[in-house]
Formats: sequence, C-alpha cells, structure tokens
Amino acid sequence: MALKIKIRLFFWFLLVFAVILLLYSAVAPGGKISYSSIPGERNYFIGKLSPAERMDQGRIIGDPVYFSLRTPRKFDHVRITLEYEKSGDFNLPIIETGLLADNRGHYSLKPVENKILDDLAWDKIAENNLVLYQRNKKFSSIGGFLDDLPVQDGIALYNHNLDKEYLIDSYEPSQKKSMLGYPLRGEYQFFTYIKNEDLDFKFTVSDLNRNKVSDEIDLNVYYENKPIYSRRLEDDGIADDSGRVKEDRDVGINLSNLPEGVYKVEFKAGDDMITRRIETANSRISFINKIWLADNGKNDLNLYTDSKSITAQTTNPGRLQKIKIGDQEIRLKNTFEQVGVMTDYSLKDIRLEKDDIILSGDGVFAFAKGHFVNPSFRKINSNTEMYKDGIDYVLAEYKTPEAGKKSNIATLDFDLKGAYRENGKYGFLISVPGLRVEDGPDDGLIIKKIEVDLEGKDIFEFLKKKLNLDE
Amino acid sequence: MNKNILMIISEFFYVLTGSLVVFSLLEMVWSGVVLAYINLNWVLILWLFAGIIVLINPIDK
Repeated sequence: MALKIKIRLFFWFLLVFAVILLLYSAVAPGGKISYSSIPGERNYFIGKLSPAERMDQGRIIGDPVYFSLRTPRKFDHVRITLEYEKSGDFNLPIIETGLLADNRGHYSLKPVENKILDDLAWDKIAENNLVLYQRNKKFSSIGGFLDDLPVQDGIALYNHNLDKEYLIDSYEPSQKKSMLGYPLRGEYQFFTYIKNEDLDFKFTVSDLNRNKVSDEIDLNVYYENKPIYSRRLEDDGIADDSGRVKEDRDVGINLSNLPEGVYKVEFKAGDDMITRRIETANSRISFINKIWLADNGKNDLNLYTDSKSITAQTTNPGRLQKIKIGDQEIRLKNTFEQVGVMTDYSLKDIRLEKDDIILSGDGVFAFAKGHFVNPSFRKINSNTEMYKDGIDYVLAEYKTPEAGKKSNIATLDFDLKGAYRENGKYGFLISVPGLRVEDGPDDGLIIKKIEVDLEGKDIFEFLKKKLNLDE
Repeated sequence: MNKNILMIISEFFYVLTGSLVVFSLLEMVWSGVVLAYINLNWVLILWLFAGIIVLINPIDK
C-alpha cells in the first residue's frame, strides 16, 4: 500500500508541476519570454513564412513574405534577431522587416540590411542610433549638422524623420473654395499648406459596400509629425457585400488659428470608399506616395508628380491603357500587374488615357502644378542613386548587420504597444524590394533562424496597475 | 505481468485521465496554454494504451 501511495503522489505531483510550468510560461510573470525558430520546422509561436508562392525550398524568392508571432499575452516590446543568408544571384540592396501596425495592412518597417549605405565610402559619424554620412566632410557632429541643415534637396533620410520648418515665401491664401479634380478610391494622405487661413476640407463620400467589412473613415491631421485632430465617420449601416449604395455623406475638417506651415491630412478608409468630391479653400493639396483615381468613366486625365520611381496598376480590365510620364511611356496590359518607370525628382506630368488607375511613387501627386507642395526629405530606397540624385548627406537610423562566415545577423527592436494583434498573434513581414517571383528562383534569401525576445509588464507592475485602477 | 508494474501503469492511467481533463479545461479557458508545449494527441494515445493494459490485466485486490 505504501508503495502505491508513493507512486500516486509522485505522478500527481508531476501533473501539478506541469500545470504550474505551463501557467508560468503563459503568464511570463517576470515580464520576459523568448522564442526561437528555424523556418521549415514546426513552431507553435513563430509561424511559417508565407505565401508558399514566394518561397522555394526554404528560400524567399518574392517580396514580401509574412510570418506571425503568437504570444500567450500582450507585450510592450520585441527584439527580433534574424539570421539570414543570400543565395544565388541575390544582389538587391535593401532588406527590411515590418510589424503589422493596424488592421488595414500597414506595416512599420525597420532595416535589416542596406547595402547602399554599407558600401558608401563617405565620411561617417555615428552617435547613439543615428549615423550621418557626408560626401564631403563639413560637420564634425550630428548635432552640428542638425543645427545648420544644408539645402534640403541634398539630404536623404533612411529610417528616420527630420522635422524642418517648411515655409513658402510667395504663398497667398486663396479667397474662394474650389472642388478637387477627381473622385478617389480607398485611403490616401495629402499635404496642404496654410497661412492666415483655416484648414478647411469637406469630403463627400460614398460606400460601395462590395466587401464584407464595415467601412469607417478615420480623418487625422498632423502638424510637424504630431497628430492635432482626429475624427471618425462610422459605417453607413450596410456591413455586407450587397453592393447597395446609400446616398452620399459629407465629412469635414475645419481648424482655425493654426500656425503657418505644412499639414498632413490622412483619410483612412477601405477600398469600398469613394471620395466623390473634396471641397476646400486651401490651394495646396498634394497626395503622398499613392493615389487611386476612381472609376468615373472619364478619359484624358492629367496629374503632376515629383516621384522618381512611379508604378501604375489597374484592377479594371476596361482600363488597360498607355500612360505617358514626362517623356516616357508605360503600357498596362494586364490587370493587377504593376508596371513601373524610373525618372528623376523633377516635377513632371502624367497623362492617363482612362481612369480607375492606382499610381504609386516615392514623391507626391497633384492635379495642378499650383497645388504642389512637398516638404519631405528624400528617402533612401532601392532606386536611390546618390550621385545622380545629387545627395550629399544621408541621415539614417541604421546598424549594419553582423557578418558571419556565410550568414548575417540583424537585430531589430519594435514597440508592440498599439501594434495590431488578432487571435493572440502579431503580424510581421520580410520585405526585399525588387525581389520578384517572375525573375526565377536563382536569387533568394534564406532565413536561417528567427529569435524573438519579448518584454512586457511583470506581475508586480500588472498588479500595481490593477490596484491603481481599483482605487 | 508483474504486480508492481501493473500497479504503476494503473496509477499512470489515473493521472493521465486527470491530465486530459485538466489540460482540456485549461485549453478551454486559455487557448494555447497547453498546446504550445504538449501535444494532447500523444497524451490521449498513452492514456489509451495504459487503459487497454489495465483492462487486460486487472489487478487482483
């Protein structure tokens, strides 16, 4: 009998111990937990790289690929260590990893590797996380550079924002309201400029209800990269994909007593949303990086852009066409296919034969030359040509990855507070601009290992917060 | 089969029964807390084997 009791106690003790261990791993009372994965092996916490069409025997051959991070609870911060190896003819300059920031597919990108900067034989000053590259050394510190910024066109940024006051000397406010050129589809952002006037926009919108999601609109206004106004327009009440369209609705912004300068307006909405009209008294309006001209049955449209790299795409088979960009021409022959062209940073016109086109670029788009405003510094991307683009200074928040014998190791930090988390998972992507499946599997990126170190509130901080709330 | 071994298997069977119940309840309350580390299929298989052995070789009281 004694032996039986002892064995019983031993087994039940093992079970209790296992339950305590499982709960400890789930709660992470110390606030920290780490996971590690070798892609290709089954892992509960770090999902496999997908989609399968962009993978070839464990190599990434298309851009981008995604993976998920499943966590037992929310955390505040994650450090991702990526060990990777380039295979075959891989010679693309930029590799980045991003964290899914919201449920609209926006990612917050961080650099893994930037060969353009690594190979730059310029003077280099590194202070904390920032690096200043100078073609000809003029500044002895980053502080000195920031206090006496050179001409804006000669500066490029990478993974860093620089706030510089942007004032237009010759600007005079318009005395009357006008309607913006064309209906737009989906979300967009634009710069506007005000001086002794209100920031005044009225958007007339219509929900196509072709997707089974509710279509709210979030309007945000930013000044010097800080949000100053926010407003939400709720869905029209039809959250199915019936295609029923209710009457148009208006949503507006009217802000007074604002300082002179550039403001960014963000119209966040799904692809079901059509902006039929934008009525404004503000004369400058330039759309940032992307604009989708809605299907309105119109032909012969003109826009202007200062983008160097421009791509066009249509989802509408009736809108395949020839597009003239400056003195170059591209042809859209297939739906959903992105066709691009490389130009320069000068202001050039875009002539479209038909509408329902998505235009993307690394600059801004405007419907008239007089609408043009772009306070942004140039950004280093895979199309950057330092000498041709006239760049003399680069300010970057970037750390060259550690080089091993065959593989490199990069470490990235992400803030998880406010990151999008669904069903207990955070979303990530690995981006290699220019890596295309259509180019064949000869060049690729092998991810050898992903390590994740999570940090969040420990049990004491959690209890303290709970008690403070209860008092 | 040796009486002690049968007794161990019998106790193992009881604790595996308890494990299945406890782990299933934990999973219902907090999804993933068990499955992240323990494959319940293997626990179930072990429980079945232990149960079959216990049924075939009842311990004489």
